[in-house]
Amino acid sequence: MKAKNRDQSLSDSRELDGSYDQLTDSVEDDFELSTVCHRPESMDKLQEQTKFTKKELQVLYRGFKNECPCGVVNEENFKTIYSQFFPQGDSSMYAHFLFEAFDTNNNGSVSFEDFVFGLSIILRGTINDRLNWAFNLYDLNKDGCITKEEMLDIMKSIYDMMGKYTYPTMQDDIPREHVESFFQKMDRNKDGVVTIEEFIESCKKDESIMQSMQLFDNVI
Amino acid sequence: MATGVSAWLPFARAAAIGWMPVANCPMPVAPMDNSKRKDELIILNVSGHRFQTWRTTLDRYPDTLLGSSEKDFFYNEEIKEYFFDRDPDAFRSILNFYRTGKLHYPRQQCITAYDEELIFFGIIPEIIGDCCYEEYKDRKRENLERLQDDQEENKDMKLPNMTFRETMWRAFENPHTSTMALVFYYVTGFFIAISVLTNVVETVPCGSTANQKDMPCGERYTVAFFCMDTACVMIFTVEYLLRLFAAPSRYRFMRSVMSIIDVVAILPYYIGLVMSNNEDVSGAFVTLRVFRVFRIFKFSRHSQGLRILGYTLKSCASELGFLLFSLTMAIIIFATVMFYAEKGSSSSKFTSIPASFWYTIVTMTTLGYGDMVPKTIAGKIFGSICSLSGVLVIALPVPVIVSNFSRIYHQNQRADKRRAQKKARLARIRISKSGSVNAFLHSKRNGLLNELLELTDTEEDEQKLTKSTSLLESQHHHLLNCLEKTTAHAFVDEQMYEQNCLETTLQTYPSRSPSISSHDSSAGTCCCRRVKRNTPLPSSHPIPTYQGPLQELSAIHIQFGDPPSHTASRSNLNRKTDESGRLNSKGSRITTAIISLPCPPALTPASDSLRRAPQKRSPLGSGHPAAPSIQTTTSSAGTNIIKVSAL
Repeated sequence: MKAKNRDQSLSDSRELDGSYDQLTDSVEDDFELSTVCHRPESMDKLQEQTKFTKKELQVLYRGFKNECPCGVVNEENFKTIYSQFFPQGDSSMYAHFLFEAFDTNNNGSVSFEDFVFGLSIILRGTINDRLNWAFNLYDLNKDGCITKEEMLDIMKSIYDMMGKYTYPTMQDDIPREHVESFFQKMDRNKDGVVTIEEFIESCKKDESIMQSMQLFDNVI
Repeated sequence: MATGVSAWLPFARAAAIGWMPVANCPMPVAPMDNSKRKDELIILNVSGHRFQTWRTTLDRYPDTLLGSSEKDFFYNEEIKEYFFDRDPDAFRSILNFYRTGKLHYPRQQCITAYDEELIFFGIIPEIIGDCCYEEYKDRKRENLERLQDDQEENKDMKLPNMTFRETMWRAFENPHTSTMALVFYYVTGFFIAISVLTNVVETVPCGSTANQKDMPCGERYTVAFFCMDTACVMIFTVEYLLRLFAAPSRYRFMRSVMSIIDVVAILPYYIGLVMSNNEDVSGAFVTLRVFRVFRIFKFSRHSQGLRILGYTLKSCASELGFLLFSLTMAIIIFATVMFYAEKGSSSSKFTSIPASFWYTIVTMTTLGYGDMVPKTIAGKIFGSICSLSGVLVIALPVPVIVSNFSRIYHQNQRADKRRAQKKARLARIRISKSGSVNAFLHSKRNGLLNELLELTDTEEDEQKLTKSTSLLESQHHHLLNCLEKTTAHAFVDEQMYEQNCLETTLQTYPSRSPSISSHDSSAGTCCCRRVKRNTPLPSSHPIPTYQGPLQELSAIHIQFGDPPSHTASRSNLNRKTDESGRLNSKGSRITTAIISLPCPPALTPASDSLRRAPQKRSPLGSGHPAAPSIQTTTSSAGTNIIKVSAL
């Protein structure tokens, strides 16, 4: 109730005084958000559920907590963090898709458990697990198959991360062409969508993809 | 390297799983984490105070002293600590910067001492968080001004080589610079006073002569007053003309307020001379004399206070307007009420509402002349309400104006300051950001070379070549490399991009010197901006100034002859064809990587002469020795361009 009254008086004074400072506005709002704290489960439980050692969990958590002291990442934060690795391009769309993939319970925020579960699958999972996760990332509406539109969105977001200054110069139809070649490779029965089985099967047959998947073995 | 989020690098690399199935070619090999160093605690001994932190905390900012290998210089083997002989109090906030990513300025620290600490530890002050940045800048500015005040005492000495005109203008603006200026200042002030006095005395009745009644002095001693007036106007005209001559920008001077006042002050006299004794206009002429009172405003050149007052009124115009408006409202309301209240009484002075205005104004400002008084009871009641509210209505806006003036004045000062700071801040942060991109491009070349050497099995050379990039950096670069692979496009920086732009517009030229003609003929392409930048280059420093504002002195173009095809050199898609070209150029490339910036102009003329021999030189002239060679790097002849970042 008290919070409500304070909000009410705040908004009243905001109406009367047109020159209310934008700065204090957002400060009030931020204050409301940051009091929400989230503590992860105990390290033992996480160790059972994921394939990380205690030390690795410690390192991961320290990094996580430093960037998000309140224990959860919201999408804005997520995008900001991710964009620091790609200074030249616009990584917000891809970060959005990643966020959707990490946020398994769809509550709009990624907690440390979500974060660590996702990382465990990608970095310590079997090939099938990893391919599954990748498929989940691509399948935007989680209906079990990837359509050309979904793939096009993903492709555009990846190309957006490159930014403007590339060699050769980025043409507008390159993402679409790339989607076409992807579908040619993956879509076995040519029905215009790629299902999970087609995806896993095609990836397993492709040498370069298998080789690339080895990359994740020693990231941490 | 992305600062502050290095702990999230594993996550970013894991997120690359989304690119794998999409990529058409295999990803490059990831850098091995050979060190396998456990995350250990480091002890930093600062003048006896021991600070402990994780190694990875310090590694977050690799371009500072503590984050790079520079701290090894301070490692003490006996005590197994990093010892710094610096101020531990300032070090506290510096270490907190590594921990939290925000740099705070401790208020009790001296500004110069803090600055020195920041410079020592390699941290740029622009990173100071918003909470402390204003304080930091204020203190810094104060300090600077204090130092400047000491220097300014010498400034008033006459600078050599000032033209006569500039000297005169300076004398007009700062009367205390020379004796002549001071004399002129006082003389004009004296004459302004005389002139105003004459105008006033002119109208005083002078005593009657024998045959006529009292008349003003002006009509009695017409000649004397006329002479006085003429003398004053002479002086003012001469002064105005001198100022006009000396002004650096005559147009701006003529538009300024002071010159308008000058003109208005002397104009009535001349108009009076011109229209001598025409009866019809003499009435208008008399009113013109009123403008002579404007001469008193000329005093504002002599008085700082008047100028400030003028500025106040101008800046508080809206508040004054509000005051006027609220007064008008109140006047109208009360006048109406009084009129209708006094309507009944006979012989009332309140004949109409406008007639009641006078009563309302006089009452509200608490003047109370008493020439109009209400007679009815209702009138008296409303009259008293009127006088009470008058006090309020007048008393309320005035402090608002005063405080507004104070606020507006200070706010303007601070806003300008902040805006200037912000631009510089953002520019420097942008520079350090672009530095990270350069680091990636640089290490990409390094990485290609390493891979090549791995293929050719030259172990000892590999050791020589590998620069000590941190594991974090190499992992980050590998990540960006993967993205390049996935999209089959390569990261380049702004200049290469524009060069490529230039190249693609000239695809039709088959000859070896397409870029030379492009230098002459290109206009309106996306690269014409860059062409314009090339032309005013002085011949002595072609490289540094070419780079453009953001890059500053951070990249050098070196080129080599006899390359394989252009596209292959850019990406390592066809690694085999690169080999021969790279083997030839390997040796010279290493030396250029070590060269620091002053040397490159010595280097490029050598390569210039290599390049330019087969090409026509005449169209360019000797004004651009290095510029065309840089441009020809993208010619279809296919030069192998390698950029070296001199970070």
